[in-house]
Amino acid sequence: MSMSEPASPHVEVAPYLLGKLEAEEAERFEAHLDGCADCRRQLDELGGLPALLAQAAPATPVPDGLRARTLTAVRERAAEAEGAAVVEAPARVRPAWWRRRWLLAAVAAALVVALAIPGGLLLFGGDGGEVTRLTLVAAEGGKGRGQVTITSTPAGRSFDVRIEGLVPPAAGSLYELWAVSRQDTLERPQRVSLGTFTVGADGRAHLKAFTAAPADRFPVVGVTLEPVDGNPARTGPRVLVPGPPG
Amino acid sequence: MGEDDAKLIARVAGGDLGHPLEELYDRYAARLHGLGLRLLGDPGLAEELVQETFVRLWQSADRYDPQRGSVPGFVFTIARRLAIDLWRRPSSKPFTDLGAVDRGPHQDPGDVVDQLLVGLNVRDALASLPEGQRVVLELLYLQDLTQRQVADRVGVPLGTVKTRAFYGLRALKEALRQRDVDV
Repeated sequence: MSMSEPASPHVEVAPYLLGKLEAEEAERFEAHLDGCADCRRQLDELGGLPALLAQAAPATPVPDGLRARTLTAVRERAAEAEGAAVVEAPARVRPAWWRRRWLLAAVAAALVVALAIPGGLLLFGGDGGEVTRLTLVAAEGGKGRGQVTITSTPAGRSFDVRIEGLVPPAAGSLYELWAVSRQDTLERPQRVSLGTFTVGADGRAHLKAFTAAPADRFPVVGVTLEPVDGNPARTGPRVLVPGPPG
Repeated sequence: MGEDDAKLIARVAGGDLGHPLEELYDRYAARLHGLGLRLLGDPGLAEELVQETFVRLWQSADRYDPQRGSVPGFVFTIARRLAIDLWRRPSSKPFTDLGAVDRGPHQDPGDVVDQLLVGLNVRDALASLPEGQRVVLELLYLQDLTQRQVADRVGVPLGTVKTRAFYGLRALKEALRQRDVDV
């Protein structure tokens, strides 16, 4: 297909297809179409474009460093495959999941240290605090649910959580309760562990936890299922997530 | 479009991980990253999708046969499989799915990927057009201005708007064909 064809294009085909001709102009063009095989062919060839244009995804910028990270990842894997050392290669680029796991581990480890003060999961017996109630619902359509009563005081927030409808976790795994930021992503985790727990054969648990992590930064409460592997990061699936307000 | 994709893949298969790999990255990364972001709603997973797609592209480059399919088809078959695996990974779901597509329990991730790829290919094809044609098409259709408003905004005669729109559509059709999108 040559870009110079046709020599003298009947360019009204484009505004006609895009719905940009006034009614009178459109009528004139349709009358022209009757006698112009070239325009009819163009119309036929280009007729599917407006529907596709309407589906155009918004442009999203690709992170600056991704090109170098991707090229390095491929070259390193190729070098490893050849059993050769990469001489003067940039700093090793691990797959994103690997970096995320250890970033998470570092953040969570710091939080665990912060919580590991005497009586790490404190029972809070204060009075006069502001009380908020939240509900938790099953993340993937299960029967699990929870009622969370949060009492805020100058010292922090105490959580009284009643869980029901969860299946006792398989050997080697535990449920974990989290306070999560609304800006939390897997790449940049912003969440605080409130402790791990299990449930009885009746699927119920009654938990008490305390954190000084600020309520305005970590307002979301959720539960995941985590392997007992010594890694304090979240790696498992969501089990309970916030229910509808009210 | 420069050296064709099939030759680039052949050079990668031959062990050249310099220019051919960089050129393939430049041609495909935006769509792969967009797919990751839209499907998974997480920047880290989107990066993982891009990196792993290129690693697998390199690993399987010697199996690419131009007689059996196009390069975009080859690249996105790899990406599609990876994207679905990432979608299904238990820990891949942020607590707050900001900006990600709906993950209803009955949603088939393959369908979602295919649907997203059409939109991403259209965006990529648009971005490949000469600037003048791209701007006119975007203002006319995506921003819904009249031809006269576009002429004023761009500072060209009305006839030029019509000409650019016409050749822009022709070029878009060709750009979509190169990306395996039927018009």
